[in-house]
Amino acid sequence: MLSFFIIIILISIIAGIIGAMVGVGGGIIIIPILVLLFHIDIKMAIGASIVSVIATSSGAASAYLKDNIINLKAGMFLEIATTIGAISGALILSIINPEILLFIFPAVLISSTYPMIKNIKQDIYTNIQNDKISNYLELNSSYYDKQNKSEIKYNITHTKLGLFVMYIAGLLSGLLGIGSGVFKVLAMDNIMKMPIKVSTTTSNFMIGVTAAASAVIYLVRGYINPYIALPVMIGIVIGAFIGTKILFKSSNIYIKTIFIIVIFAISVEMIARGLHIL
Amino acid sequence: MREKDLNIKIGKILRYGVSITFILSIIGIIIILIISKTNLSYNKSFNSIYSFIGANINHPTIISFLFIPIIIMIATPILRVALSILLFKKENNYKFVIITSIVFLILMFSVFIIS
Repeated sequence: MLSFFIIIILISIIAGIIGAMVGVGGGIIIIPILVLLFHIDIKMAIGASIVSVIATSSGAASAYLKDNIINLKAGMFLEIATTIGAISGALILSIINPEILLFIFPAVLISSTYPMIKNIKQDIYTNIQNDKISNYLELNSSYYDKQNKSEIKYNITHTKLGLFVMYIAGLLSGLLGIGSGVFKVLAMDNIMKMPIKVSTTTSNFMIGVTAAASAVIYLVRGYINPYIALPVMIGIVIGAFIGTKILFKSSNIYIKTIFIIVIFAISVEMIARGLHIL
Repeated sequence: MREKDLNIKIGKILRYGVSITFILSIIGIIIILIISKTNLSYNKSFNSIYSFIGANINHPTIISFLFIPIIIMIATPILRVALSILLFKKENNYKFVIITSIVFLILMFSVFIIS
């Protein structure tokens, strides 16, 4: 039992570090290890993954809020779309076969990395104008980049399309319990043209709320096992703490590169689940 | 400056939630290692949280304790949304009082109606 706890804590530390840096939960690492190594039922693995998402979110966001890097207003506004999406996902789960999505979304994810790879050397989007919604809600903001040692101001555009992708992100997390963080980052970076560090940290802030809704459902149905959840939470909190320290010192290109790797890993994992390898 | 205050206050809520969860999780693991004889192991599923607590009725307080850090962890982001409503109201930012209230209502809907 002790060795099981130690392995889970160590894996969760790694999941927490990566999750805190690129704005995703640790499910990508935790689910395959639990299923393939310990032969744990996939639903219980997803239950553990949801707990890890909340732990990453709260752990990382508390540090990022202190350093004013998260765009709190944009995050709160976009949460409307993600939470409605999460509920829609839970509601249509009995109607449609979510396994089809496991083949569709990897294609969407991988193709959406193209603009990011193309612009990987571009540090910050320039000449972006606020659209009507972000003007009305005053969503534009600034943050101090510790790596560049400069104050970076940014505007936010295409808010409506961003909201739509956020809805899809919520839908996915309700249906599959995976992938909600990557879609959030893509919506903020690719579409709304927010700086990558603001996108990943704001995503971190948001994923906890999206996951909390489904977590209650999983908890009541008995899919959250404390034997797994407790070591996961311990590891994730430690990892998220380390991850936030690394993000502050990292360049935008570095964060983007790790994010693109995570997208490919998530896509492979989705296909593996679709083929029942996971 | 107002936005920074808000960030710090909301950050504090999250930090309290995480710290309490962290400490209670460590205590929980120590408890598991000491008693080590429960009806559950890491690879055993159970029908629901209620049946799990019911099946361990001989020492219910200890086993129920293991769920406390999980419940606090899940409650932290929900509490964060609820307190944000109050903080925005304090700053007379009514646009965001409405936005955050909508998020809170959706969350409550999913917690109580769907589950």
